[in-house]
Amino acid sequence: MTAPADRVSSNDVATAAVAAFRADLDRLLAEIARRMVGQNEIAGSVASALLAGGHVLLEGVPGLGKTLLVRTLAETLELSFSRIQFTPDLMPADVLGTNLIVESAQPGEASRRFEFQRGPIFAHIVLADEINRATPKTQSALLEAMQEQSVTVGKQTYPLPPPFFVLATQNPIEMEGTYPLPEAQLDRFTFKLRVEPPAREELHAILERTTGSDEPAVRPVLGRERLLEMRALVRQVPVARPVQDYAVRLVEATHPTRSPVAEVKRFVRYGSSPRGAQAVMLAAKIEALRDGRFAPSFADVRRVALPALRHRVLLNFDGEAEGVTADALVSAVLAGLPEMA
Amino acid sequence: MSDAGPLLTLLRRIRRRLRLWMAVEGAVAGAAAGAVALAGAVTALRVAGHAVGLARPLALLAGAVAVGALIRAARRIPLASCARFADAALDRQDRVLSAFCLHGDQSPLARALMQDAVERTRTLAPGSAVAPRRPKGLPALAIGALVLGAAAIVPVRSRAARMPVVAPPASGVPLAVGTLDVEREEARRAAEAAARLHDERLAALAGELQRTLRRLAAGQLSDGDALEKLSALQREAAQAAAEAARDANAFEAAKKALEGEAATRGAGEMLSAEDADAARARAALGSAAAENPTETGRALSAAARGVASALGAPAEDGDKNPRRLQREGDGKNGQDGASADKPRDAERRLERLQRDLGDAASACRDGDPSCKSRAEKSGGDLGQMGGRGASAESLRQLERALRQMRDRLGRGEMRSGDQQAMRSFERAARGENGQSGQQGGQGQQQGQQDDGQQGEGVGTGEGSGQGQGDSVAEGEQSGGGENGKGSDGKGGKGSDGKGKASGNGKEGEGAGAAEGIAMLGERKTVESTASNAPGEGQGNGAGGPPLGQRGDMQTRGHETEARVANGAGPNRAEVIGGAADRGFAQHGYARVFADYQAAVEDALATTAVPEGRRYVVRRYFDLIRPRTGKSTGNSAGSTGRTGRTGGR
Repeated sequence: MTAPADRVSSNDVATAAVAAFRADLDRLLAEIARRMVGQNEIAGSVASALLAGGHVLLEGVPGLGKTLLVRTLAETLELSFSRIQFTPDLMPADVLGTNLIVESAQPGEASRRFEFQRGPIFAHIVLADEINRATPKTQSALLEAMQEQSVTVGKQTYPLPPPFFVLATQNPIEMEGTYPLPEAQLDRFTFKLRVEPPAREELHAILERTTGSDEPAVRPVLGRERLLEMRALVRQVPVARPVQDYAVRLVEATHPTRSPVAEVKRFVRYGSSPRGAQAVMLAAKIEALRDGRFAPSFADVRRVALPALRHRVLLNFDGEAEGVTADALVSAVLAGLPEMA
Repeated sequence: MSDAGPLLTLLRRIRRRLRLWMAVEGAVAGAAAGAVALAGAVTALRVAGHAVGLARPLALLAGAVAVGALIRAARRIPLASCARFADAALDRQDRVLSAFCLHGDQSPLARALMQDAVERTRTLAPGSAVAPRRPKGLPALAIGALVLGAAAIVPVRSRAARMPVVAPPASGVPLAVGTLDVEREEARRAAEAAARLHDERLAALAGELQRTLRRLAAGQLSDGDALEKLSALQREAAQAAAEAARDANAFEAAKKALEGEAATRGAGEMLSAEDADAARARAALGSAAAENPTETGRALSAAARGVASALGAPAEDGDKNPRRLQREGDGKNGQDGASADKPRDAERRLERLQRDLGDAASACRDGDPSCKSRAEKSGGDLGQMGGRGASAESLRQLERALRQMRDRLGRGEMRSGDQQAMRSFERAARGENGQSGQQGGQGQQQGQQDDGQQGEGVGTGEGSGQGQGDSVAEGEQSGGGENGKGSDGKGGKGSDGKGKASGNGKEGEGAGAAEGIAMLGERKTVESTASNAPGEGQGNGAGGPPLGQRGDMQTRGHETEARVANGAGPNRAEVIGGAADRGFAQHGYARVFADYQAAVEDALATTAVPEGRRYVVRRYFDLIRPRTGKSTGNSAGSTGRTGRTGGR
């Protein structure tokens, strides 16, 4: 059994670790805010997904700063960054890489051989800009990379460097020339965040900051190692059983066959996958750490439920015909589900 | 003591306090339920005549309180729920709950969590976590107390003291004197006509009407019963009038046939005379048969045909079966009981007469010795039939009077006769209304109406009125309608005024000119003219039904009112989905969908369509594809939906 003195020491270490996590995260967000006006909530959610080891899908009309946010995040982290502009004629090989025939300079060897030319996905942070402009075939090229953190070309599998973080942006599906992401692809995103237009004051600040001669510069505030440490700390956060049960019941309530919510029974074809529960729990842990707490609360779960579940709830024909949104359904679930079973 | 010791101690104290409050709430709920039950028991005891003391109810109430408190306090209260109370008193971040649930976890963060929770709850008192609150059942308790108080205080008559309440016999209210004068006069006329024409049926109707009027005037008959009685009398009078009219038609036809032959012309003229009776007609026809049987036979044969034409059937003897069949058919079509038998009797009587006439004609043509006796019998029968036909007009008048009386009674005019008379008097005094046959002057109308083929008729008649008080008196009124015409009606007569009104209306609604002169006491003559105003009062002639005759409508279409509940219709998804479920997916829709989908696929394959549009079109067709059942999501779609399962 641990001695009381050791306990005190251990408690101090844990408290310090949580405090450091909170300070580093605040520093990262503050650095992002030097360039980004508004969108603090979005930036915080992106950072949460990064620390949870997941990926983020940003949705919004063009010009709201989605790409700028990702670029800024990459600049504040000492990580490699690549950007892929998705277009209708983009092919999977353009993303993953391809085998090229190269001439050997060494005498005695075969004069020609195949060599894998890595694609832009081999980076720590990948910006998949306007991902829904590419065909579903190309979109699906990211499936393995996002889940397995590796790329397989031919018979060869190439691991991706940790941390691997995909930030995809997409325009709303109603816009022309877009393809909706396949559900399997959507499920791999931890969060789907909706970027809203800035408020009037924020727009003033944007104009003042971007139409002058000085463009605000950002500097790296977190390195790769520290980021991995923070990720590890997130995994150590304990969760009370009632809170975890609440998250489980929340995910379960998005399924039409098991939901106590009438709207879900009527309008939902498929509910969230277990990945949704994982995303909710990890994000709730990060929320607790951001607040300096050692365990997530029910409020943390409720706070992250919408971005973590909205893209995992698939509407049926009735729902689409009635114009019901997944956000409204998740909100209905949150409103109708008691915290304690 | 472990790190969780202080926390668990706090939670147990919170649980004790929670239990106390639950006991209080249980006591309140028990008291409320006990009060309501006690109120019922007290009421029952008092109604039964038993005395209700104080001690026993109080003891029962206390018992209910104790039971309620025990039941609620004995409920299990988990410590996790107490931790929720503590968190609510802190910052609602579930620190205490997490620490309580993870107090066995030895990870650094869990221990730090416990330490944090203990430190934060160190100053937390159970009283602040479970603050005093108003018990939930207080309103119910208040209601129960009120009910109990009412049951104990409100005087209740015991069952033994109750007296049977005997309802007073229902009776009508006597009518004002003179209210039924018009109807009495009609009844008297009908009785006179019945005596003059020897018509028993008319006499019975007149007698029944007089009895009804007497009972109604004396208040022995309610308005509802009177309406029913009048309705029955009116039906009977109308039926009798129709039969009499048929008899009259048959009689006229037979009489003309007899007048057509020289030998029987005397008998025919005898039947035409107003003072003719059956005996004289019998004698005249008997003598004609004795003197000239051949011509008498022809005349009788023609008379038989005339009767048959009035019946609406051929006169030949061999054509009796179709008529019988028709009558049997009528009987099957719902004519039942005595009301259906009476028309049959009338028809049978005519048929019998027709047959007797035919037999007498045959006997006379054949030189049979029974020619004379048969002819005499036929003459007597024709005379009786003429008498019956003569009462048709009296029956119609009686039926009309009954209908008007029903209308007046139904509108309540008989109960407000004084006010009506006063209003009529005022109108007459102002010269607005020359005559109000029914309302002001209480005149009575007589009229005749000949029903034409299209329902038109011309009616003439006279009316005499009796003015009440200083009311109007004399007037003329004529009214015209499209479907019925009345003319030369005369209204009531009185003493102090006279008026004239004429109306010409369409389908019963009068519009025309009215002018009137009225004098009252010392007032000068006032003359007024109104044009394009509806005539008031009622005329002598029938103006036709207010809504026109049946069949006058310009269309044969049916008006149907569609009733729908406002805002309760199906929504868009239900309409589309319902149509799909009902079967177009099984038959036509599936075929049409396949056709369209094939055409669209061809177009997509041969036309330069952007990929995005191509995808949208295919997705659309995927959404509207025919569905075989509820599990639509399992069908193989063209989109990436089905790949979801494999991707997990």
